[in-house]
Amino acid sequence: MSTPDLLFAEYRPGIYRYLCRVIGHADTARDLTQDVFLRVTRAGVPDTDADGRKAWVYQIARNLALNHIRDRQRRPVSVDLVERPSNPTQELSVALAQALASLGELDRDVFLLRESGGLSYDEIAHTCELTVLAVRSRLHRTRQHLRNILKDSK
Amino acid sequence: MTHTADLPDLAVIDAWLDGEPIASPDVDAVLSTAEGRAYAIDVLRLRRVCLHDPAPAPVVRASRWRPLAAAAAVVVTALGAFVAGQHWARTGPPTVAQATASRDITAAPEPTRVIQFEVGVDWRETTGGN
Repeated sequence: MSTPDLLFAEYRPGIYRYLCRVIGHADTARDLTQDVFLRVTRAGVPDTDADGRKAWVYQIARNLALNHIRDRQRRPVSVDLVERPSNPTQELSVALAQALASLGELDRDVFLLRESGGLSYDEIAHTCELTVLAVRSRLHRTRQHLRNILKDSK
Repeated sequence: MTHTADLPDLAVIDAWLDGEPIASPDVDAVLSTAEGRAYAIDVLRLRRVCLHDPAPAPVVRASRWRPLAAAAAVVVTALGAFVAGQHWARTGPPTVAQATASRDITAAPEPTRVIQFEVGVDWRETTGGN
């Protein structure tokens, strides 16, 4: 049995990375990460194995992220500052953010849960309520898609 | 081991890099092709970006109303200045007398409270400073 403290220590970096990529804003991702673990504390950790707990925590994060994105879409947003990427890694990072924005919600989440969260196919399947086979094929398709977009943007 | 005969070749690389169970000969076969190696490198490159730069600069699109609002403000200001200029060209700028004619600046304001004193009743005269 894990306590919320242990889950926080173990999963916070991955949850934060995942939320950063999904939301695209570090401060909001930090706030949402806090919200995730607040909910974990309130709800109580389910009595399952480690994979199940990880999937459960990421499911909370994903739901919060989706709610946040939907709320944001209802409000008109304009960002005034134009920041130019200063090095090739940042350039690639911005290109990736743009490419991710072109993906469907589920494809983007499957990809980010794998790459930013480090979840296994089985854990992603639990989190997104998909089969492992669906996770595998979505992940492959998304990588191919991102690869093509990033190649074209070079 | 996962049987990979029904997977497209490059999906073998996905499973391998993601730590999923996969048959080694399948990985060898795909990695022996240039396309397989290029795909593996691209997957690792994507992973690197996802892991090491969690907060990229936001994808920024300046509001498209902002330039329109700025242009509208310029037009309104120019139009206002033009109309004022036309008006002054006809009538001339107002003089000080014209500007103050609308109100009598020498008249005292109306009192708000009046106190009546009666001599001998509540009237007291003192001499000196105190």
